[in-house]
Amino acid sequence: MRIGAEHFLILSVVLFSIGMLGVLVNRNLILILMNIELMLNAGNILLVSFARYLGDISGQVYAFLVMVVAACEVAVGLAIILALFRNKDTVDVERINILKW
Amino acid sequence: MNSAVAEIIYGLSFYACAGLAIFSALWVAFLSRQNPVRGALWLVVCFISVAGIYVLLKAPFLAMVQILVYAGAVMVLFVMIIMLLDLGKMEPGARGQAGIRFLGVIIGLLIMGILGITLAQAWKVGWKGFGEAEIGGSEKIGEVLFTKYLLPFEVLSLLLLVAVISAIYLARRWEEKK
Repeated sequence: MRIGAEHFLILSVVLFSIGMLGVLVNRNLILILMNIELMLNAGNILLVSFARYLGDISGQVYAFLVMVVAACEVAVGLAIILALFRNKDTVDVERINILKW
Repeated sequence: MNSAVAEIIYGLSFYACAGLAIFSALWVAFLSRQNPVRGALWLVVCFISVAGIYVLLKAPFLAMVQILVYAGAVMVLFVMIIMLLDLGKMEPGARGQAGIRFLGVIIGLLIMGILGITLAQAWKVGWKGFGEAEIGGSEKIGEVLFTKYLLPFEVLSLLLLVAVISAIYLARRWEEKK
């Protein structure tokens, strides 16, 4: 049972696909944001596993930077959702259509 | 402990972490539509098992940051917002949207197929297994972060400042001026 980089690659692709399908299937904005976090985590697994495979620490630094960006994104995204809920009383993406004509 | 036993333990812990991560991700993505809090709690499980994956990849610093930032701060933010919003049950969607959602699922499966093909190509590379080089460690990562990646680091601190200000500005309660 030898675990190599390819196993971590498969895990990353599977997690990314689950997150992507979750974004496409869900209608709740909060759940969509959670699934985006899932996709970012899958990307991070890929970066860290290649850092280990190539023996280069840059991948881990990039994963760290991605985490910071993800934290910013969650803060701003949730603030937008809060403002939206105050104006429209819903977080359902099918009911938020003020930019459509 | 001889190396064969260590390899088996490594493999078992990889499959445990990966299985838990995929299982909880499935819950977040498909099974918590009625109740976002359930999705948030499963997301915590997913983040902690991803931290386990980082430990297996010899990145203990990232595992710690993952638990602190994701499983701690980000999830507290999610749960706080769910509490503030006081969501009822989602109403059933409009009928005309079903076709668009079906299209979305089809496109998603197509992208999954492209990822699968890419993976199949990558499979032919002939992976040589992980080297023995020690790369993790907060000391090494700090050294690289503050020399080679100093500019991105500083830009990110600016980004954090902008995010804080914009989040406060957006979430403000707007009073009507008299």
